[in-house]
Amino acid sequence: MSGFEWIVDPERAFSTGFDAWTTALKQAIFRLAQYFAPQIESWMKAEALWTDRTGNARQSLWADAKSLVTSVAIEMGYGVDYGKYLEYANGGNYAIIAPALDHWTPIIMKAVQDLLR
Amino acid sequence: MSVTTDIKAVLEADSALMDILVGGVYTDDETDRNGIGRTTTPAAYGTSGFLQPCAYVKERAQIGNWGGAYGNSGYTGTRQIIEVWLYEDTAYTAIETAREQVIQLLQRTLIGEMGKLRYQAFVKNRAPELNRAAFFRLDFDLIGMLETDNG
Repeated sequence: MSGFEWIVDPERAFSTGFDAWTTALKQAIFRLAQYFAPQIESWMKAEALWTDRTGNARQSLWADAKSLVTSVAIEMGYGVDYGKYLEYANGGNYAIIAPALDHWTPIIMKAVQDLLR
Repeated sequence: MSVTTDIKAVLEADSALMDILVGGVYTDDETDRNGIGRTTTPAAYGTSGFLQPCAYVKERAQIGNWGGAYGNSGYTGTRQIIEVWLYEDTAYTAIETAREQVIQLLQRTLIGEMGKLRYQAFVKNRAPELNRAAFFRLDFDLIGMLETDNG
């Protein structure tokens, strides 16, 4: 006797344990996303390179954490309809969404890696 | 040589592509913050004053590998998005053909000693600052290596 005894069917135990682990992992990643989203929003508002006329475009920049069915997302965007113009005009030289992706991707991925250690 | 001038050289070496992009190929080193325009890139415009099919190559920030250096190798992986913007005055006719050729030319191409390009996606839209000229923005990943000081 090894002193080890299954008290539930191992297939069921694995399945239940795996489900619990993935749920806990998704919740932890979502909390990370909630932690970073306001920082990303502040960063975009501070770093946007255009010259403000009304200040509306800068103020309308947003980032929000979303928990989807099988994934977690941080969505970013403009609250003004001419945001597309700022992002795509002049060869994208006044864009802020793309630079935010470049800046925040390694930071967030490092945080997710640290979470899994 | 910068990454964008290396890419410009690859594009300009293809005569079939340059037959389409008669307005020329420009890099972010050659233009100001406003990109293609009558002042900074006058050759992009024909004698009639209309924008000719042309390209604008731009590099975004280089991202280091968030996993750190590869063991004790002293190197870390890097990723950088390279944007190739293709413009045409009204229709997408010329730049649709150019788009396919640019992808073929740059896909898995070694750029300098930096790394290889990998095509990701494109955006299709109109450029309001260029009198609603048609444009494609092609995004390529430049996957490379960077020497670190913790090797």
